[in-house]
Amino acid sequence: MKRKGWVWLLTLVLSLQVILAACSGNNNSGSGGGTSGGSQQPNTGGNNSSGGVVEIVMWHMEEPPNRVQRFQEIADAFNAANPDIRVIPQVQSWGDAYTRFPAAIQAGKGPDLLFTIPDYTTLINSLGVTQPVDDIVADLDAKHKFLDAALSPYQYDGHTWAVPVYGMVQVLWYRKDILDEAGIEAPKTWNDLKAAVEKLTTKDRYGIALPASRSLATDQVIYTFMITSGAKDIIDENNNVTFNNEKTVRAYQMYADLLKFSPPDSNTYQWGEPQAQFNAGKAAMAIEKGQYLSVFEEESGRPASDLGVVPMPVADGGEEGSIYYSNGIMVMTDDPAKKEAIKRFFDYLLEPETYGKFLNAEPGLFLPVTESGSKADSFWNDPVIQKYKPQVDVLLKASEKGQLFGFTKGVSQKVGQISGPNYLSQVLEQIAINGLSPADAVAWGQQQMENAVK
Amino acid sequence: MKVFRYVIGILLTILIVFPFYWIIVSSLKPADQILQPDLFPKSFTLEHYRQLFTQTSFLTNMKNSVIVSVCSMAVNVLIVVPAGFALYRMKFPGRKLISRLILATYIFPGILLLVPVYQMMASLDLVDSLLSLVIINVTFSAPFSIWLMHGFFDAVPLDLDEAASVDGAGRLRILNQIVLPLIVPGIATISIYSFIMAWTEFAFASVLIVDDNLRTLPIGLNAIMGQYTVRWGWTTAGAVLTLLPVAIFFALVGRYFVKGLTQGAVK
Amino acid sequence: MDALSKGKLFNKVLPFLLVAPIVVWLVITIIVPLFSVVKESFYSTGFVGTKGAFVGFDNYRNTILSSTYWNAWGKSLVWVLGNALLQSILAFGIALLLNRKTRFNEFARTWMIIPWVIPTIVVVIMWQWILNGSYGIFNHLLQTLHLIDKPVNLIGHSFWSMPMVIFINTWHWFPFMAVIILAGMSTINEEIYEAADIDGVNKWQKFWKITFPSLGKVTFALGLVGTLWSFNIFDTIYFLTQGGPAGKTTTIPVLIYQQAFESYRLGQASATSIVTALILIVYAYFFIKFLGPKDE
Repeated sequence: MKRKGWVWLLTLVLSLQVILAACSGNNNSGSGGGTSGGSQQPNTGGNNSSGGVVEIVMWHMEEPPNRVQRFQEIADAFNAANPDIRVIPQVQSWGDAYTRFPAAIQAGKGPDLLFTIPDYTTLINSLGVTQPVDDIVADLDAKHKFLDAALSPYQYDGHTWAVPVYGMVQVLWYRKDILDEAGIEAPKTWNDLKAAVEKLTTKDRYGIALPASRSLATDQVIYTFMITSGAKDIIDENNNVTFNNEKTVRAYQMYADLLKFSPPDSNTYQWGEPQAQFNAGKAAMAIEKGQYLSVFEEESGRPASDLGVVPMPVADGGEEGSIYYSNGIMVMTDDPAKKEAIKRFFDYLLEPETYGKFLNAEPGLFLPVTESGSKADSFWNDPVIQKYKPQVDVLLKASEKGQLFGFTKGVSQKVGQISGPNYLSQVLEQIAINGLSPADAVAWGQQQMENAVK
Repeated sequence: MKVFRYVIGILLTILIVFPFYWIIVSSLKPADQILQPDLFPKSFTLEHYRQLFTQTSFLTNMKNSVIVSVCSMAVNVLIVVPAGFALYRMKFPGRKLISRLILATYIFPGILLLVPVYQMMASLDLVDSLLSLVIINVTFSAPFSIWLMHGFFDAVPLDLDEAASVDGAGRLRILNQIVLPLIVPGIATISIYSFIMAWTEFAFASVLIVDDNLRTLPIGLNAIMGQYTVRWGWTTAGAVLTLLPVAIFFALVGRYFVKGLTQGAVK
Repeated sequence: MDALSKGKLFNKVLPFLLVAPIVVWLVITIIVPLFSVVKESFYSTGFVGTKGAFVGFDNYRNTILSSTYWNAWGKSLVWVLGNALLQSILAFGIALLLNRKTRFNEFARTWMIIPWVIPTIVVVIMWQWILNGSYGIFNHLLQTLHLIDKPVNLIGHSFWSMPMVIFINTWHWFPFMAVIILAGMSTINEEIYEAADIDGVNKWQKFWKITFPSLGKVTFALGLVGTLWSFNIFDTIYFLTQGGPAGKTTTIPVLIYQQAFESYRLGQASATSIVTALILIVYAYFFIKFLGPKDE
């Protein structure tokens, strides 16, 4: 009789074992749909290959499916041509990049290659895992000639910290059909812009759609206003914060004024919503980067010629320009076999035949950062680029005047402490939600930033 | 008075039902109509669902959610039932202390634990494994489960235990052969509870899993939302797909759960 | 040892063996991490995983002296009380309605809990969709009724964001509360109600003098556990507003998350967590002392 009790206990314990084994065993069944396209050890970072194939895990933050797909195709083509290497792209979100990746990288669970923007690199560098890419870049520079604006944000402390791969620049998008109807010309100055926005706002339409949420998207548009107001220097290489000045206040005043002509839920907007409003004809203008090209016709129902674009209007006594992001890829592994494989991958990526295809994962948004790339057929022959050639030219020209906060006066290595918590948008919130005057809000912002980089 | 009851009843019903109706109906509208406030769609399409299945890793996410939830459910039962038997039917020193300890785990905001649990999992090399999710899910559902089992264990008279031990049965045998069958409704209740809790868990799932092949459904859904362009078709369809499995599960066993919750609450 | 004492020993040890798994589990996954949090609170750790310098009680001082922290407490109190109030009203309302035995009520009693069953993120999406500031059906309704002429963005509104978030969380949780309340109500003897009817007592009095007091144990449990659970909610608020706009919905859990993951100050976040936990323990102690059932 006692035996029966033990049988029960044994069964209980055994089933526990089986269940736990099943649960942990399932870690390794990657596969199924998804972006990795195959089953493999999900443990990334320091994990070496299986059976002689060097695996390179690459994290990028380009979430829209068309970009995910194109990156996968590029990786697949490389993998096919190099059977001893396997590049594995995985998609993440920018939100996670700032909040979760530092922890993951610290725990050794980071990727081998990590896409980045300049301020993000300064943040990740403080973890001490990033590998200098001086040799790779010197080599590629000799072959393809990097644009200075794209390379310099990644060069400091005697090293280069990422390989630039594409640039993004903001411009002023406008609905040509709507402006023509109202008899307005594309604005060149802030006064023009203000007048146009007022005139274009009617009962069922807004002159402009601006993001006002606390996010990277809003930070970016605010900064474009700051540049054109003449206030592009926020922080210098010694981490001195020079945010509080009258040109900055002027920029915020302008933004707050324009917000009155933007949809009421603007404070929930990031990158997607202004575009949705623009394409639906609910907003006549938007200030953003090049992603407006590829979906314009489909989403607006209008011809490509209705997509107007001009450089960002300038304020009196301000300066031409807009925010420019050199996007790069950081190398996070020190394994020699992987580094070798990575070099080959970069060579492949920046070859003119491949490079254009890579850039056109999102035509117009990803702009070439090399001279050879800006001449490449693979870039210019894309149907979307062809269709929107005038707009692309405007984008390329605007890149020449691109700026990025934290990188205007040398490289501020603590700028990540300002972009992470989105202080630029927070100042806007103080004005729009808490009713502070722009002067007070900017002074508050100065205080916050100084504390953050202490 | 009766009219009043009726009206309140209808309002409450609409309050509960409408969001479901609206999200399902919206997910079936074609992309160009989804932004129109038509209460009843002018045309139907399954396009968003098709795209979700083919263009996103939704199915993988669903598979992961099922694995994690079922395992969490099973482990939860395996550790709660024996503990419940000991706490509520046996006398031993430290019984009260352990009861209090378990209750105390309610106090702390889960968010506090996010970082240290991550670090602990990292040192055990369990980051990026579904097992880490199961572990933390059980942690969060066990205390309430133990509390729920109180009523169920109490409902089985102690006389039965005594009668059995007079017959020479060991304590373990009493647990297995006599008490266990009688508390099956309780087991069902805590199983369902832990399944639901595991299915919805977000904060830890987002921090502990980095590989997108191991993401659970809520994380996958969130990823769909946070994109450069806003796709309400995908978002609403994704929301429907995320709630569907747990809703179906509930349709099958919900009755027992509510009954169990009712019984368990009355201790 | 002979067979008899072996058996006795086993029986003595058995309860500990049975309780061991859950105790070990909770100790490892809650108590041990808690020690880690306490330790971190004395360091100036920035990023998760990096090493900070020992700073003694600096982090604690910063927390206690920070207006941001106490503002967050204010938000948390509004959050907890708002939820308690709204959920109670709705939960009691629905429980009273369903207390009679009808076929519809049987069905409703099971299915009304569905808002609690579905994942939080789905609840958030549902309501964001309904309340959307441009296309939401709620705005459409208000406009049709001519209550407003342009759509409003309630969730991102400086005043309405907190009430809205409270409402959405209430929608998610009140049916669960209702089930518990119904359970409590089912123990109330029918005869008491019948006697009251004979005495000519009206509905309100019946509720306050019979129903409510009899639910003492249930309301106590709901009060203690409910408020703690409510206080600790993070997902819902963060999904909906990320603590915004301009910090209007930044409750304590949201603040802690922001300190750790957005401002990259882990040491600070740990200190904030410990201070908060201590305050909650004091609250729980007094709650149990003064409002607890007097039998245990």
